[in-house]
Amino acid sequence: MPRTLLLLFILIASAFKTEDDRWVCENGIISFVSDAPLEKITARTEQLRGLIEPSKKTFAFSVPVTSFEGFNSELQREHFNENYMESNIHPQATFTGKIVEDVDFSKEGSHQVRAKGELNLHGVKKERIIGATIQVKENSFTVTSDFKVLLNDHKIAIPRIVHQKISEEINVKIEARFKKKGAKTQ
Amino acid sequence: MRVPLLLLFLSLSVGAVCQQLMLRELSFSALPGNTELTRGRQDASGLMWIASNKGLYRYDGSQLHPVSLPALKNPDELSHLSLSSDGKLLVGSVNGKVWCQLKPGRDDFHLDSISSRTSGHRITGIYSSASDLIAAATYGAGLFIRSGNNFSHHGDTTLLASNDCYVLCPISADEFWVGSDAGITRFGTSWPVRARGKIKSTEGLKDDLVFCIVPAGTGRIAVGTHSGGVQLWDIKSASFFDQEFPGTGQHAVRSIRFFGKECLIALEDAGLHRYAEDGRHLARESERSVTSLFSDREDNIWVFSRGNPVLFASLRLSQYRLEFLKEQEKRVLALLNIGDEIWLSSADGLFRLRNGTAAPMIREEGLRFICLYHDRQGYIWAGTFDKGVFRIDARTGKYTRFTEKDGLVNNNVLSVHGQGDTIWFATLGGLSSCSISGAQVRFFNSNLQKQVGQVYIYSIFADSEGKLWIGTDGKGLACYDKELKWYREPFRHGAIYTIAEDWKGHIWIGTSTSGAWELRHGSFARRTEEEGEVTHIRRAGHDMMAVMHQNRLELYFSEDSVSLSFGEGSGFFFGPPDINALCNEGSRFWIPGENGLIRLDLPETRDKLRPQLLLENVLLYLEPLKEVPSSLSYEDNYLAFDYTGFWYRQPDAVSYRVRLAGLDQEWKETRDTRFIFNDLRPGNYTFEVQAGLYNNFTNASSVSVPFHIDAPWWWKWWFWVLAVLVVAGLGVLFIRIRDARQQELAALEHEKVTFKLETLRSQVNPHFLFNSFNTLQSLIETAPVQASHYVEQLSDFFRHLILLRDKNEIPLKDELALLENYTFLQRQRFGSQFDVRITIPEEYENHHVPPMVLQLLVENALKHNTLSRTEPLIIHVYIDEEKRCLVISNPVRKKFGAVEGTGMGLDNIASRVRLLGNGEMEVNSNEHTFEVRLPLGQQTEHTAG
Repeated sequence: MPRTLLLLFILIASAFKTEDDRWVCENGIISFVSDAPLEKITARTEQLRGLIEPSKKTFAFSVPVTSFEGFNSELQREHFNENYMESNIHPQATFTGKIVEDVDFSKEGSHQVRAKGELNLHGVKKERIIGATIQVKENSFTVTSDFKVLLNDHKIAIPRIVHQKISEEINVKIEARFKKKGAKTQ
Repeated sequence: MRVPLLLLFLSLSVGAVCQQLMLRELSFSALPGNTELTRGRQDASGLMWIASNKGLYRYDGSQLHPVSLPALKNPDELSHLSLSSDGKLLVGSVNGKVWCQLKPGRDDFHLDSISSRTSGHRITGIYSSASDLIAAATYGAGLFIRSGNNFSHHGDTTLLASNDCYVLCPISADEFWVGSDAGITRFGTSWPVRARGKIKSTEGLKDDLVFCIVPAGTGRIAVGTHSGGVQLWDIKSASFFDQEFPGTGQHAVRSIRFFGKECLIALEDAGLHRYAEDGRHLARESERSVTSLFSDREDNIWVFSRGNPVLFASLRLSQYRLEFLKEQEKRVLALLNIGDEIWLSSADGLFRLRNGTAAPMIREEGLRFICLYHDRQGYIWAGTFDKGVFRIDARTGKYTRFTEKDGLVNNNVLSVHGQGDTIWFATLGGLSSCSISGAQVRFFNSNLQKQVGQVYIYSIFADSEGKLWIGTDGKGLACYDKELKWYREPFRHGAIYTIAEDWKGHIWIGTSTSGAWELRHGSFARRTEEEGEVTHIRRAGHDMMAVMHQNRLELYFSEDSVSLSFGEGSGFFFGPPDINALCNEGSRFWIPGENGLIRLDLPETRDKLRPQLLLENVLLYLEPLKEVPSSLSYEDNYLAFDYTGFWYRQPDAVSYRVRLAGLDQEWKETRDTRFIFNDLRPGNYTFEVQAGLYNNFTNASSVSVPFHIDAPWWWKWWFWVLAVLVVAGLGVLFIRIRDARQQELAALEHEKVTFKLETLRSQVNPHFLFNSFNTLQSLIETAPVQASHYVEQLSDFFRHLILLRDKNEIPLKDELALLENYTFLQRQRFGSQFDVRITIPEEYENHHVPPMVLQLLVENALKHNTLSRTEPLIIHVYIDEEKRCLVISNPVRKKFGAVEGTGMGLDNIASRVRLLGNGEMEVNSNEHTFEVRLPLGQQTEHTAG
């Protein structure tokens, strides 16, 4: 019995320890551009959530698909959600994995890193290595990245005709400011 | 003479986008050098035959196989191929030989006896009826006719008026025509064959040198001459039509083929031309000087010209080369036909194709027309991406544009459909509509538009009952008939690309992800076997629906489907065409293809859409059978079937499935043309094979061969009855023998027990003991040494007795030892009044006898005979070597008043001997001697002892 208690104590202690090392982002910005010859579609959301644990070098991002705003019409937004992304079945897009490089988050300045993980979009997972920049400041750091998503990779089917108006390659941009968990937001 | 013709062709082809056949060269491997393929013909089985300057070939779609003709001399050149009225191939050679095929589909030919008359002259035509009447036209010797053994001849001295015939053509069941240097002569087909009349210049024939006579659709005959061009003869009025085929008179007409409303005409040294039946020149299909044309049952054209490979094309496919489009902009976005006039849009603009020329109608940077519709007023509506909809006057080409400013709900217009004076627009912003009165176009916000709401509409269709059908992306299908009704399922996923109505008034729906559906009695049933994209559904002709899948067009006749292939050279450009880039008028379709716009004429009947299937051979142990016997012996159970499906347009599309009814019920799909069955058990079977296209067998042609494999004699019923009887008999016999044996054993056991009892009774009988003790007492007094010896012998005796009494048989030497014991004991009592003399050769000592038999016999002898010193009782024990038996004999001296034995002793011995199976014991007794003969048993194995 004392042994179990001890084990429990150690577990709780270690949990508290990692808690100290968690950095979170509550309202990151993610935007995308579909640049087809016939039409340019842009959309963005500020509901990107992120978590980075420097000690384990792990990260996790997620965004509710329905939160994207923009588009050229409300109807287009509806088709994006219901027909192409099928957000009723796959409401979230996520990217989780590990940062390849070692980053000293205590040192101010800019770090080029590569994030290796699984991009889950439209319920279809794809292993990706995505380059990103981490700008470390006092008490916070900012992650920015540009990358491309191929519709085909994630089995996002666009019907004929409208297909001509949507690019096969979607450019995605993220900007997320991370703060230490528990730290007060300014 | 030739200059005006060339000018004519030039004027027709300038800037032309003329519709041409998709001719391709057929290549045959392994043909001997200098082989020229000169003509072709398909027999009734569907097999294609090709004549050459080196003999005859059969062609199954993959390879040319040389066929040997009897009495064909190398290099005998073939000059003619035709078919008899019952579908057999007729072959003629340049030096007058005529061969007839014995059966369609087979390689067997016989040389017809008419060859003896035509010998030395080029055969130019053959007619043969089912009633053994044959006519052969020659170049140089006129026409010969044979019926049975009767011959007749027509030449320059008869109505034929010439010995040089160029052509012979069957016209009807009772008439054939012969074309010669002196016009056309008409002949009857019954013996005796008589000329019925002539067609010459007086009948309107422009030239008397008649080279071609060809049926040209119902009631018409096309005639081609040396310098009079092509003329059409009307059978009904027995005169020529005024119809001309411009340009054909300047060159000798070598061959003519009519198909549908068009024809191909081969002119000597002036190529191959396609004309409409009304005489319009449509295209110059080939530059070659064609010698022979043949169109097969699939409506393929085979073009033969000397020194060139065979050209081949489907008459159902022709194409416009869209060379006027910019290289990057060749993808067709929308198509519309008004009769044979085509409206076509690509990223390059909107074009009209008419009379072989393409004219740009609207070209503007960034303008893309994605749908086209021809309304009742004669206007063409062209929907665009982002730029609204255009209304174009089809006659003048003038247009007006309508956009959101004019009340159009959205500038992306994907589909247009008219209903009365209303035009409906399917847009990426919902339903839009306008009304037309004269030149006035007024867009209005209908109540329906609000009800449908903001949706992406892909297709819109007004059916024959006035219902409006609206296909959306992801919101399902809507039907407006006084009120709006939504069908959300099964169209929740994906877009509705196409809506059509069939001949029964049923609505068909084609979707982007879940195939094609038919609305029947208020609910949707899927018509396509698989899910996936269906871009177009069109009613094609009377009772046929055409459904465009990703890689094929599927045709539906009532309940089942037939796949139609687009092979190499006619495959789709970028996968299936875009949803508005296909148009049709009845069974004539225009589809964007690899190298241009393909015009496809669907056959109206499904039998034009299946390969012909020929069962070539049935093989027994891989030896072809002449005929399949109705019954095969049980050993003839290794059967193979050779079959071929002929589909010359695309031989590799043919697939087969086979089944052996009686063995299994499952079809086996295969690409092989031989199927082998080995070790078939006796029984009734039916071999069935079907040939279909692309593994679609709903419309397959099939052949079945019933046969029977006999049971071997040991499988016949009478054998089984016999076998059962024999087995039953053997069983009964076995049971009987076993019973008898068991009885014997039981008897033996019984005898043994009785005997034991008897011996014990006698041996341990109180007399014996009493006597023995008396003897012993007397000995103790007189000779104590002897007495102790006596006691030893006595105990020996009893020990033997105990050891041996349970055995069935013992070796003779043990028995003799016991006897000696006994003899010793008795001799102490009787002294010299009695003796036992044993003479047994040593080799017999191991033979078996039943135990205690000798002792019992000796005891018997002592009991029944008197003993005296003067006449001692001598008992002899010896072997009768001859009879292999042990003999115990003693002289008879009957005791008076002797105690009669139970008689059991001897009987007991006799039965024991019998049961041991060594033979019978013999007892010979007379006044002087008593003799018992015991048969000897088996010898003991020395090794065992």
